[in-house]
Amino acid sequence: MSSPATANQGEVARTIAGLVVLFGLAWLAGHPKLARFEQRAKVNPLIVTGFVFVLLGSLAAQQWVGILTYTVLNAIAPIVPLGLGWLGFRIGFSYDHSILDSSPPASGVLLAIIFPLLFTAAGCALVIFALNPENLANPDLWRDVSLCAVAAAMTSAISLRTHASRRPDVLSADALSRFAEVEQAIGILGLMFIAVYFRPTGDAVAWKLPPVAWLFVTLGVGLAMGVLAYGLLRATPKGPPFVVILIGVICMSAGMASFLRLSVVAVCFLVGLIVANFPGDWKPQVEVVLERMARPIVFILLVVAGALWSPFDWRGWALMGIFVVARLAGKTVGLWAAGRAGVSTLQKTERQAIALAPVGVFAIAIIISARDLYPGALVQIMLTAVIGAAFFSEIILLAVFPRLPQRT
Amino acid sequence: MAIVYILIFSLLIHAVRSFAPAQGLGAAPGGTVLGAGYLLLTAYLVGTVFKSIGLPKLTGYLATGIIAGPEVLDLVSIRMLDDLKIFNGVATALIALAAGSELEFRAIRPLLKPIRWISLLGLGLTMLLLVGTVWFGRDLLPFLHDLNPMQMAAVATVLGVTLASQSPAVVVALRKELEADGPMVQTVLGLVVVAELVIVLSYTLSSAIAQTILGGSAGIGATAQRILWEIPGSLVAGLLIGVALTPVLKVVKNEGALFIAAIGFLIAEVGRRVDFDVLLVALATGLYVRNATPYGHRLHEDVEDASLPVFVTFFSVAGATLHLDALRRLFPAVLLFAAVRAAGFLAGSRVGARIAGAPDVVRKYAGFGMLPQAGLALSLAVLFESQFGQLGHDAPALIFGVVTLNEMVCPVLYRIAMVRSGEAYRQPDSDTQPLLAAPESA
Repeated sequence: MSSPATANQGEVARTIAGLVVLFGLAWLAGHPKLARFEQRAKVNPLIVTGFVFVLLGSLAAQQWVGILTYTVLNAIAPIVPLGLGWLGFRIGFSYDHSILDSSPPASGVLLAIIFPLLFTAAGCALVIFALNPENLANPDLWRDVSLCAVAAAMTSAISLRTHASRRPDVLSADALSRFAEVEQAIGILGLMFIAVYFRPTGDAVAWKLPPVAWLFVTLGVGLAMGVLAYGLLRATPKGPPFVVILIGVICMSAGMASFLRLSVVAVCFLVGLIVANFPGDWKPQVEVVLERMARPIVFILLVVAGALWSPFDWRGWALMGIFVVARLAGKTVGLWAAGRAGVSTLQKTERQAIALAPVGVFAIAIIISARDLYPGALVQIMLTAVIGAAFFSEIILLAVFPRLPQRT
Repeated sequence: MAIVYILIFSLLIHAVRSFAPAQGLGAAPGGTVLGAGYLLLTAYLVGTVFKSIGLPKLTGYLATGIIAGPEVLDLVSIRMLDDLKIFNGVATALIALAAGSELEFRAIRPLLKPIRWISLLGLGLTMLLLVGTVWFGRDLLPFLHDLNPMQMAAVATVLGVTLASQSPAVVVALRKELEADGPMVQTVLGLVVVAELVIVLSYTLSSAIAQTILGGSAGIGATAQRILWEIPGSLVAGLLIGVALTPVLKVVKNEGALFIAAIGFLIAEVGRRVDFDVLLVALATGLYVRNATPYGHRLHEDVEDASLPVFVTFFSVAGATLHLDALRRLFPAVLLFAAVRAAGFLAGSRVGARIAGAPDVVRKYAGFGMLPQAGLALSLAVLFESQFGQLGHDAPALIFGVVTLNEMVCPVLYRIAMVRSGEAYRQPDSDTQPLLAAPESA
């Protein structure tokens, strides 16, 4: 007996089953046991597990597989602001006020960031404008250059921690992690400014405000949702109601930010920051929920990144070449300058490790956020640059790593 | 304080939505996430407010949707609601999964005789009465006017089955709240759980026939093919999912809720597209896990954990998509159907209990336990709307109206019945099994 279902419905069913399998794999790969295994094996999860999801996403987007087609990607598009919101909230929530006591000097981190930012911006601008010579005055291209530059300035904290665990004699995991955390906060600020200064205009929007007003709107939304989230979470019993409120707060914050074309990561970062820094004994519950969902959400974002990625577009690889070289040069100069200026507490080997370390998931999230905020952005080629840079930088680091001098 | 939060969230979404028109930028994915977040937070808070004044939380979720929806305040747009309808299927699957995992055949065996007679007469009679009311009250139901007698009979049967559904969740919650125990309470628990199974099976069968008849291909062959594919196919698929689920439940200890939500999504979205009945697939899965494996209790707990965010969104979206003008128009019909339904259950259960030789307390009060309605009826209403879209919005509005009325009034009536029966506050151990299921050790 044949099913009365039509062939088209069969295709849709196959797509949904494929999506469920992909999300199920993300959930399995997010299991704490696998995270513990990766830690024991001292491997970088972004390269080992994360890259598999990028490839899976890319495979699922191929026409002959037909799971993550353009239509499906549009249908599941709400996952992007939600995932970015979750990521931003989690980063903000990890910024407890005690972090200030142990953070490296912000001026040192700023110096280490400003050079890769400028070098990569210059390099990417060269490639992007070489590809679009007639559009030099187009602000959208300047926005894409800025996004590339902010992504380039980020360093993968996980990669640094993984390498520190292999060479504890020359690398301090704590110092490197703290550096990457401060760097991430500066990166979020960068995203906030990009979203504030590059905005949709004309009849598409009803609010006509100057950029600085949008900065206040960003801060206001984050602050308001943070205070409301704190008030609600402290009064909610643990268990399913707590999860409802937490998901609701992240959804609403991310939704408001995305709707207003603000940086979702930045707004949710502010919300998480406020929740983390008010008193309360219920915070471990937030941490449990955030931690358990963090890896699956990252892997789902990587699947989306893989689906958006077009590895056969040579322009992306050209951009990647410049991206890697400019980033490496910028990081090296920036860290050297910070050392010379006496504002860096890092050892020479640690500075070398940071200069060589790849960009992390956060950098990929920065590029994915462009798809949410700016339809038509050069997301595909920027993704090739960032994903390729992450992979090749890790290989360079692995090659150079054994040659780091022993501590005397 | 909850009201202050609700007001602030409502002002926030109102302000944010004024940024971009509903089309264009306003239709971006951020809108869906915004709508989901707003409904989750406010519906949950309204639910707590309703609970504090003695009303069901579920009514609060529905009320939030109605008020925030496009017909009243328009805080949540039609576009947002369309995207959020993805929760419909998951919620339906979770409701059926919960129903299946509640029903342990071994536990209801001692009560089988009264349950059989009361179900036969109470449920059977009520279904017939409701079908008859649809038929004879068709003047009150404009959506039936264009149908020929055969089509009308088919739709009347589906409506009769849907309106006869009951609510194990409300019965269990009230039993817990009043710490009630005794022959009446036990019988009512058995009755509503069995009724859920009967309703799901009857709905699947009647809706398959009705869809074929309304589709204009009323041939016996087409109908038989559809039913033969849908019912056994759904049952087999459900059993297979149950078999596959068992080893996973063994391994996954603390994070079952997320996994169960994913299973619900899979059942709902894939099942619907290969013409399986979502309710039946999930019900079969739940029944298998409860009765053939030691993980029934675990499954039920995981479903409960996964349910809250899904149900809050589902019921508030259901409220927001309710067509108030249709409800206003059909209000006399709503009252008529609620009255007929109550009369059918009260009279049928009385006669059934008398024939079964049940104690006086069962005879007098068991019918009141069959009156409350909640999740299943609403999910059937949503399913009805998606399956019989050609009938317009009136039929779902009728079901919504009857369910809302029963949901608000009937728990109070059953509560009074429990107190009057003398079975309230008689539980030896207040931490009883949450549902009609033998303890795991049994």
